[in-house]
Amino acid sequence: MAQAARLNLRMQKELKLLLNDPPPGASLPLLSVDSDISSLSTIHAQIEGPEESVYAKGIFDIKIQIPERYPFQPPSVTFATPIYHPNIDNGGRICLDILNLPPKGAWQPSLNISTVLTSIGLLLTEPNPDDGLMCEASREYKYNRQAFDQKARLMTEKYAKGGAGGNGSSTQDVQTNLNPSMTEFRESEKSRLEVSESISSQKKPWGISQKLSLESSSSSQNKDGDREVSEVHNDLFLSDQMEAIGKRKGVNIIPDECNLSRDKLHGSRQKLSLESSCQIQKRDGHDKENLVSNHSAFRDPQSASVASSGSSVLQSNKCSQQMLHPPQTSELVAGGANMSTKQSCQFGEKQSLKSLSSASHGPMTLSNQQPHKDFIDNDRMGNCSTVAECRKISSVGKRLSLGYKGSTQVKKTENKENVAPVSQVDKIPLSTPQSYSTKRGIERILSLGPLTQLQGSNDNNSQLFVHAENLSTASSMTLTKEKQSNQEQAAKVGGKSEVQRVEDLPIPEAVIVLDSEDSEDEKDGGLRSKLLARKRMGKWRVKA
Amino acid sequence: MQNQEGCDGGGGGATSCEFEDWGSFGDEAIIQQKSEISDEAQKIPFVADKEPISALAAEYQSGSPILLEKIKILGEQYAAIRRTRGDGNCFFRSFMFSYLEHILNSQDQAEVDRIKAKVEECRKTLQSLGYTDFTFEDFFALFLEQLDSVLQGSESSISHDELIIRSRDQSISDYVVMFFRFVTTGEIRKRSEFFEPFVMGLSNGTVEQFCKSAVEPMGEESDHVHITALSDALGVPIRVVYLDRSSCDTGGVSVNHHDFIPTTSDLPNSISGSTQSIQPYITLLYRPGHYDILYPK
Repeated sequence: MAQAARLNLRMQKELKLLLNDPPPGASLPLLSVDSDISSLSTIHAQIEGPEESVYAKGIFDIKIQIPERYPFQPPSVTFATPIYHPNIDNGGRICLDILNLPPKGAWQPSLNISTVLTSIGLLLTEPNPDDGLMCEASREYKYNRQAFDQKARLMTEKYAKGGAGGNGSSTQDVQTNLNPSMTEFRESEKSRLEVSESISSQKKPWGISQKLSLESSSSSQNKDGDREVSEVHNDLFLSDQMEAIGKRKGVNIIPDECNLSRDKLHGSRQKLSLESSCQIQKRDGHDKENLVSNHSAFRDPQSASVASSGSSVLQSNKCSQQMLHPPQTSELVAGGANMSTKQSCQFGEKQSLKSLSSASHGPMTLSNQQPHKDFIDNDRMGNCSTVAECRKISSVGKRLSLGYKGSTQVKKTENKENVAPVSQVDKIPLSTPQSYSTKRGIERILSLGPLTQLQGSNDNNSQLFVHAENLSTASSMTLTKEKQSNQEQAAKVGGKSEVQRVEDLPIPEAVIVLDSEDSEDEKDGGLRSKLLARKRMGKWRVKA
Repeated sequence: MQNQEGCDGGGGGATSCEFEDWGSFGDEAIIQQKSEISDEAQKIPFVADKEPISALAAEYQSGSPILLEKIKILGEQYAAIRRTRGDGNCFFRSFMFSYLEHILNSQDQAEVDRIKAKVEECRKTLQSLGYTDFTFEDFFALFLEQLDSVLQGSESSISHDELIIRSRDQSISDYVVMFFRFVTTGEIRKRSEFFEPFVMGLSNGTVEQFCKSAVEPMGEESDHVHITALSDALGVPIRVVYLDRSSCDTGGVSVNHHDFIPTTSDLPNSISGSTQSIQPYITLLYRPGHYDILYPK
């Protein structure tokens, strides 16, 4: 129609302006002047967090959908990158007057995408807590600015830094490789979120996740011969973890303040994680093919475990069992992670690396990332309490992670893109585990089961826990689809033996929680990872 | 002058019932009427068919005697009414159709040239106010396109029927309405000192805020400020006839009207002369909350 033609014309002008004279901090990474605009109903833009704001240096993906009757109707703009902001909800919806028609809103046809992006940039600089979409964030912004700033920075750090161009498949792959831990983290975060109220439970999950992640990472590394980066990271992690373990036995590297609580939590979580892993293995044993389903089941148990440490232990056992399968699942997870990484492009490679270390942070980030999911809120709530700790951890974790950015993305991708991951998984089986928390988590768990020693690699104790939890949850989600392939792969990897071992070891006896605080190293400097390895006499090991 | 093709009459009976509430004016009635109009808006085309004034009287059979009296007087001066959809854009839509119809009927090339120059002025005004070109140039282009097409003698020329069809095509009609809104907002902001006192009476905000909230958004109803600004910006005189229940102190009922005569100094020759002598060729019927088009005898 004539209107469509006019809209095309208009959009061409809009995009030309956006490309040639973008509003401050905004860009259209996926578009060029030659882009076929007629087929564009959705525009992907990126906005840099304004300097001197809590979102500084973050790169936020923004989705702009152009309605048929544009410019008479406002564009539909949402954040694809999780962000902690009083006026932006978990689904990325933005509370901004010019995005709605009068009388509710203030959209007018004389506005355009450039002005919308400018307004969003201003909204990042100056949130409007009096018209908040997010009650919690609004309240914090008004009455507890420090906590708000912390959370917002943490969210930015986890979700909006690193490969801003997550859209690229290459970045995704990288992320997947690096991100397995991230994904696990996310999963763990979810689980944590569920558990959020009970920090201790969260800590437990972390322990599991860490263990899992460590194992998975090691396994992933082995598998990931193809991907040098991931391997390197894994090696680093492993070595770091090992060293850390050696240095820090029974000592959690987590920030001192957090350490106390976390230690306790970790202890319980670790135990739980071991148990959960055992259970997982058992489950896996039951249904090798149905790894995914098992994972889901595990997820539930994990979440439950999170909620109640006692129950969580059982669940954790399940998780551990699953983890035994992890080698296979890890591959699957990796694939999933790849998928997720793509989605989580924002998290970027940087995050993925960090993600390993940030696994501990993961709970926070995961919760943040999860905002879209129901769990997110819970996670955030829970996270809030642990924010300080998480931050410390997160910082460490981030540094350690080397840039696993895709944790959130992983989450998203996990649900939707589980299938695709498989192929990627093949390529990056081990590395990817990090990106897909669930898958990875499972993988890690599996690997951990066999690799209990690998726990030394726990860059982040919390991460491991998170991973474990996440794995259980996420794995259940993503795994279902990918499980089959993953299982196959895992089987190839030799996860079966591990799984069997895990199964044999009903209760995770030795849980090594490694807090690889690369970020912590900040104090120490460099890559020094404070690894708090709590070795619990594990039947696993014995059996292994 | 006017073509009779619009007098199909079919729409007359169908639409008249929608306005039976007009019998009782007042704030509540206006509100009710507004909501009913919005409900019924989808049933009325953007620009309806021409109806005799008697169709208007039929709406007020049981209504106020003052209104009936006024309609009677109205019928002495005006031949027909053409309703427009009450979607908040009725003034601009009425102006659009009435002006284009006038050009179509008069084939006044001088007027077209004159208004094109005015349009270019408005374009510069918007640019100077900081509007991004592409946000308004499409609307400008579409209006100029319609302007050219109502002038006969070219390949793109359209008939009166086609003009009605286009006016009912949202993808064209809304664009032209938006063009007028841009012109109006540019004029108000350009002469913000002049309009400020009027705007202050309508809203609590600044002139700029007023434009953003009450002029530029589609569906925002027009007031004297809008009409004055549009008339001034385009140099087109507009007569608005008021049909309400007000009555003269002297006892005699008369239909009030107000002529919006452009204040710009460069009035075209066609309407040159003293302000008094200017005969607006656009006549709108105002009933509280709504504008329709009137056709003089």
